[in-house]
Amino acid sequence: MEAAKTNVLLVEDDSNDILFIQRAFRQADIAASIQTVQDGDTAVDYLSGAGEYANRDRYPLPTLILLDLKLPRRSGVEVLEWIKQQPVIRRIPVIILTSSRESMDVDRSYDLGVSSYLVKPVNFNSLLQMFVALNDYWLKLNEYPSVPLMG
Amino acid sequence: MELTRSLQRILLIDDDPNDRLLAIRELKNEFPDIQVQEALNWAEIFQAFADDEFDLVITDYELHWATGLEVLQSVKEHDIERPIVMFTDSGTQEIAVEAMKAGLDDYVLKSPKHRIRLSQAVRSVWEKAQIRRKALELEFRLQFLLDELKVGVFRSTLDGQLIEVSDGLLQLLGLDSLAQAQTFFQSRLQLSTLRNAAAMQRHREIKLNGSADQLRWLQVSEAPVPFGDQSFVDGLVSDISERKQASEVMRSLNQALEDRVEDRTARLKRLNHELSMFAFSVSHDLRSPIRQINGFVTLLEQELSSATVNETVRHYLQQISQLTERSGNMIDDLLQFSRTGRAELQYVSVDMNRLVQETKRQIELQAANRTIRWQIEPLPHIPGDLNLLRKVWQNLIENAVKYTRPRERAEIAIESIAGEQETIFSIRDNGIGFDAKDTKYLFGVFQRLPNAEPFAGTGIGLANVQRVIHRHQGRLWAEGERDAGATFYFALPSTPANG
Repeated sequence: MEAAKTNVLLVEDDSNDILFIQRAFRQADIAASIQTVQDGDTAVDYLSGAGEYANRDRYPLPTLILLDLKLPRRSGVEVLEWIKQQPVIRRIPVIILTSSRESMDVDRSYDLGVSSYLVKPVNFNSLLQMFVALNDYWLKLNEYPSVPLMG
Repeated sequence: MELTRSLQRILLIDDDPNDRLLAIRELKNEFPDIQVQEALNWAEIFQAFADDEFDLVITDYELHWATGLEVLQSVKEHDIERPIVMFTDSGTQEIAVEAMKAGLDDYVLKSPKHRIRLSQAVRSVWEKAQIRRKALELEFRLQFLLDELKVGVFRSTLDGQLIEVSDGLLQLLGLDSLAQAQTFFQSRLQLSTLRNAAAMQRHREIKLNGSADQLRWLQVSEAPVPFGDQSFVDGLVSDISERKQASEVMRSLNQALEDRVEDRTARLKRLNHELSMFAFSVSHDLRSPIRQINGFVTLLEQELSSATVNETVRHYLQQISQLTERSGNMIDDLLQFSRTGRAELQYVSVDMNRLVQETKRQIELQAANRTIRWQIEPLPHIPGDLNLLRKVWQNLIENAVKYTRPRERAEIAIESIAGEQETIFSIRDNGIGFDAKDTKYLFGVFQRLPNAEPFAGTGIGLANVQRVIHRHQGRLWAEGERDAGATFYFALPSTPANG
């Protein structure tokens, strides 16, 4: 892997939540860059390098995927299902970040092989703390599999 | 019904007075109360027939005006079943045989050696006649019953060969002869040819799919009957189509009823599910904006941190932040409530005083500009689920505060009355109240009364209160008057309810 340049793909449709997450990202001093797509189909396009996403310099394959469950078009669960069927992309850790704590959603996500399941906290400071912890564990501590650049 | 009747009256036909006396004496020995009517000629015989007041006839053979055979014939013409004994000293063996053939029941000689047999002969003839009559009666009755009951009777050998069938059976099956019945039995009634008595099914119901437009059902009952050294099968066949049709109608009615109940239940289940899904998705969807308001307040606070802002602004921001957080928590609780609506209640001893005071404080924050006079009596501890009972007080106190808003001075009184089985809590306010006739709508899901329109609310609050109280096996009711305040009561059992 190249010089520990990590980047995160955020799959989230709510622009307010995107804003909060980006703020929390910055305030948590996370070194990784963050790319955002706003629906399930686009997430699949991004990961499979379809269309403009073929440009991996601009749209690098992520080290980590943050995935909301409630998405327009293809749902989060469907995106997750797709990811876990891909030969190499399936190695990329996926963290669900959603407002649902329904046990059905949680169980289904783990059944499909999700790496972690987080619920969006009610206040921003808790979100910030969540990202500090996420950074410490998933971006600094965690050892990553090899994912060839071109997927 | 009496099986046998005692012999009472005898018609004695003899033209010899001494022989009559002899006979009467013999009879009186055996039958002390016997009445003997004497007939000395044809005229008296016919008169006796006309009166018909005799049970049995004793006749001499050699009469001056006739023979005993002629008398026998006339008696049999009168009544073939009437018993008759010949008492004579002049008959021969041939005559006796001929008379017996003609229906004579017994024959006694008048000689001193034999005449003592007269009484015995009369008795045994009488008894046989009685038995014969009884048999005739039974046969008649059986025939009558079989005809009336429309039951077919048959007798067959053990290997299924019909020996006899009743007319009723032929009528029932629409057949003409025993041979036709045999064919019918073999082809339609599935009588096996090798049946042992033990394995025989006593009652069978057989469906006939005739060419006729309707189904016919026959019930066949069979029983093995040992008869000497061989056995027969006696059987009954009856038409049970009507009964079957009636039970079929009954069955389909029941089925229709069950289907309807099932449909309704399914519909109710579906509605219930839709409703809870609706409540769930509404609260779920509300969670995001509240979370985001909180997020923006925090970001706003951050932006303002460099600028100089007064304490009031900071305080307001803090309040907004707290309220959104509380709303978020309430929504989370609601979601939790909808998730665990079926889960068991967590019973603890709930300090109602503390619960009411806590709830009151929270709610007062939202109504800081209001003048509310609280009158809260000391309340007891009660077994219940703390979180759910908190929701009860939250809803009821919030409502009291909300609907007293038009009052310059709101008055809210909370008290309790402890009973043996339950404790009744009440909360009274001087708010807008409600029409007494609308009481029944108060606790419906998403029901809001017309005069509540200017006030914010979803109409689920009291429904939730009711759900919680009912889950505690408690009771909930309300009293109110339009523009004159409302009182809500709930009663909770003093001991935890099962389930």
